[in-house]
Amino acid sequence: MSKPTWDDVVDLPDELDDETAEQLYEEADELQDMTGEVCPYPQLEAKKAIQGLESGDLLVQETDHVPSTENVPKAVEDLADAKVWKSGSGLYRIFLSKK
Amino acid sequence: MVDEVTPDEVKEKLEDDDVQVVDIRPESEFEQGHIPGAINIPMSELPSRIDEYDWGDDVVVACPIGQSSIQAARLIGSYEDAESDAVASMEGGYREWEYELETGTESESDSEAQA
Repeated sequence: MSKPTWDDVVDLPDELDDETAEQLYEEADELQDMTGEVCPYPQLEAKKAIQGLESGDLLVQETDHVPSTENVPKAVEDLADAKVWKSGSGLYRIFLSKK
Repeated sequence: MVDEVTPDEVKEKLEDDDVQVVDIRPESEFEQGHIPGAINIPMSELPSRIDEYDWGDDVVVACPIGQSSIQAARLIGSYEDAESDAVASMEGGYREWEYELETGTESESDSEAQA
């Protein structure tokens, strides 16, 4: 009997291709390493960081917790637009661009 | 779509004694205080441990703020051995829970629920 995975049930934002993600990552205004962290900490930290940014600035959160790629964008959806990049080996980057 | 139940509704269900509460917070938080009778499956372990339990027909998932519990309820509901409409999420999570908590690792339903 096959077991479901988070990828089966998590609602991801639009995905970025490798090249675009790499370029945006270099230009990010703030980076947060959230690997190993679970709800609600990543959401709270994203909200705090975005409030300190200017419109158009970019926050990138790195995580290994798939559910965060849905929860974090939802937690800041009034403040920022979200995209996600998957490494394919368990690492995810959430790109949050302040509105 | 996952159903959400309020903490008050969960409290009532506990009194009817037929609900299975699944607490997906880390073990350390579970030990400090959890909904009486809840079993603890930390969220990161849920996909690999989903087949360890007999999922009954009234399951409520609880987390800190009621967000991850929706995803966990989707995951449990998508498992072949569970019914999706039998799994709900506790709205607002533990942040909204105003009733008594049980401490420690074991709760009587922990051993009963094991498959």
